[in-house]
Amino acid sequence: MLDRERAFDALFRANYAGLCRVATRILGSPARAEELVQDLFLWVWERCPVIDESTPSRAYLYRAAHNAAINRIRHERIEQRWREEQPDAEPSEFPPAAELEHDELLGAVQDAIERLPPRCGLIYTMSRREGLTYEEIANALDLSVKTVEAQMARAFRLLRKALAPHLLASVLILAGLAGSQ
Amino acid sequence: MLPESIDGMLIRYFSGQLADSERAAFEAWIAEDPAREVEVQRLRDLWEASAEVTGQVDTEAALRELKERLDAGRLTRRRNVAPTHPVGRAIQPGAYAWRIAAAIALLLGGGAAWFAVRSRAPASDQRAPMWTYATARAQRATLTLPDSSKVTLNTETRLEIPASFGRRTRDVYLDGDAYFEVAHDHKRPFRVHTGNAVTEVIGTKFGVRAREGESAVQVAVAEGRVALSSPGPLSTNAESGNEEGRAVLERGDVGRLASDGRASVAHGIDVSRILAWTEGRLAFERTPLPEVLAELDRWFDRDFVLGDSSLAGLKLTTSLRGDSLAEAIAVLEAALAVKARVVGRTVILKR
Repeated sequence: MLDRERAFDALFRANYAGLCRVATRILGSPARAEELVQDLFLWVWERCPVIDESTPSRAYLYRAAHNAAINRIRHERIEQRWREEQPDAEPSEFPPAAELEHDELLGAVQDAIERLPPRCGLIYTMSRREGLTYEEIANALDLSVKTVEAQMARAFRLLRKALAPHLLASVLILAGLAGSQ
Repeated sequence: MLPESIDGMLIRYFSGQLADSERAAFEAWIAEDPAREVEVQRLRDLWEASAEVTGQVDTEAALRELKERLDAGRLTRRRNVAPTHPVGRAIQPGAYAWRIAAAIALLLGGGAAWFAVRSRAPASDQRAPMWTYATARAQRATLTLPDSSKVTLNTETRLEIPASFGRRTRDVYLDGDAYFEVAHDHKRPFRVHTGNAVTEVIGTKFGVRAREGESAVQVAVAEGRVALSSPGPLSTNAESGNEEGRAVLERGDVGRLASDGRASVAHGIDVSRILAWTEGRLAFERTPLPEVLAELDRWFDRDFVLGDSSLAGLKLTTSLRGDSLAEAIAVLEAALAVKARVVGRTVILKR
């Protein structure tokens, strides 16, 4: 196998799922997200003169996926959600529960993350879920690192407020979760 | 309850980004109050849970699917389609197939403004399915290949690219006249196959001319190094100065490979004249008139005819703009001391 193809495969394996998650966040549909990300990788294969372990970079891929997803929804009503982002919007309330199973808690956290304001949640998931550095995120979304930091802090504040009722019961459960990773 | 502005600090704490002294101070502050300790532990749980990945994305299946599309779906989808499609209908925006067509740029040669793309069955079992690009008379086109190489096709030229292009080698098949700007890749040699010749390069700029009716394949090198060889029995031309019927050409060289396998190389040529067509000009130097007229026929999609057979022995040295038939005719009249009469698509030249 050629170096280029080997590097492409590695790039694909390392980034496909994360890019799909980011695209799903914007497009709302996992199927459309996969289609978009596959198109992106097709484009990379055909148009990038050099493909190696660091080219194209992760920031580049995320930027491309993000831009492509935004373009796709540009003419759809979902775009409004992005335009009308409220600076102090709070995530919706969760029904309180006396006892929580491990999966339910995880689900609650995931739900809360999904309900974050669009840009805020995108940055938070790119950092926590996909593991991008603040520089990479700033690069991908055309922001300053300071803005990324501020959005991260905002996301965390919103999350802890939304999940306050759940976290109290979850201390012991999550201790077990950490050990199972 | 932790203060409102604590989040940035917590994030840096959980990410391990606090300096030792900062961390010690922070942990001391947390330890001051048991409720605070509990809360910070809860928030660490939240932080960790945020890294959890849910949802099913089958990466391996997606990669396999992508490869299939690259190999089979994209390049061979039209394998058995005979009719020609104007490019405007063949390309569907957003469709997976035929992305290579997105890189086709039409150069207007004064004739029809569409570019025929058709596929045809492989000539032999050895050849993989091919994509065929063909220009008609008065048409030129530029394509970008998947390796970023650029090919400019002159009028009435056909280029075939196998579906496997770029995987281990870069082979293309040419019938006509084309200019290549090959992306450098020493691991995958780029080879232009014409009739009886193979022109192999690593990365360079050169023109290959293999026209029916002309006795030799001509390769003019603008940049880099090109190896011109005959795949058949070895030629024995001492002039080429190279072993085994192979001529290695460099910038300013024009190599010719005749149908009998004999190669010859001329050095120090101004190849910009030979390649002037890529810039929309037609240049001739001591070119026999019949050849000039054949070139003009293809370029303008007309039929240039000699009214006096005595004219056939003339040679022409001139350069003319390709965007004006009227000017071309005027130049011919002046250079050859003839008069031109235009009847429909025929141009008759007489003394």
